[in-house]
Amino acid sequence: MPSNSLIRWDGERAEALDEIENAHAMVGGTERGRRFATQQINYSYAALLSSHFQGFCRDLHSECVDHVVSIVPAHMKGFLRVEFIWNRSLGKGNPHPGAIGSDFNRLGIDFWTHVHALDSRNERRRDSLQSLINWRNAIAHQDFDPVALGGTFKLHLAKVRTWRNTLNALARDFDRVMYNYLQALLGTVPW
Amino acid sequence: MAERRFHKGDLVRFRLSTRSVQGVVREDRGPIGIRGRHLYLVEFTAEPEAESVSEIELPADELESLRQAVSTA
Repeated sequence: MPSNSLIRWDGERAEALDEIENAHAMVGGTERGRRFATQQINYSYAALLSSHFQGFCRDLHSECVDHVVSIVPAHMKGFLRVEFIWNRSLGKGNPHPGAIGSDFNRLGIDFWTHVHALDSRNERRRDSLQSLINWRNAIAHQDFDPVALGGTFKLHLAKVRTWRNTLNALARDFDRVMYNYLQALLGTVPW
Repeated sequence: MAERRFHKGDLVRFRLSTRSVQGVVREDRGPIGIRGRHLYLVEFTAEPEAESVSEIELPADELESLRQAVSTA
């Protein structure tokens, strides 16, 4: 059974991303104007993908905090909840690997070590996530440095789709890592 | 029994350690809590003279609505 956060990622968040896919398909024609329009849609798609992945990670972190706090005495719950989300990176910035690691590590887990141990492909997926974040920042600030973007400032739909597949895999493994960790910590399955 | 729902801007009260604290709902975080319960992001001032605000995420059953008190004040 998946976490509520993963259900949301596979549900309403996936539907929102599908709408961008549909918008891309609806821009017809073969003229130069179409290429410009689809490029802007690809930029939007990448930015929205980053935004929804940030939302998923923030959701999963909140869901995990709710479980951790459930086993402590009532008078301690409140300030623990405050401490766990105080200055949370995922509440204010991009979901870059460092932010994800630092927020989940506050729950007592060496997060990325566990994610890498679950599937050796996750090291490359982590690099791919960083690549998406680099593009997201370039799009948001309209500052396209080809050196930081893999030698190009053109973003193709296939690239965004690859990132989306990568994030789907990471989301499933984040869910699994926290499931295993919370089960060991709490003595019961969290979801 | 149906879960009580809160909305952005609602004035609420909750327990923080041994104190009762007042805050404002900033976001319905959705049904992401234990057994799908909604969590709410609440902004509050930890001390009356504090310059910065703090945040907490709480389920509905740990929040008390102050809408009635505000409307009659």
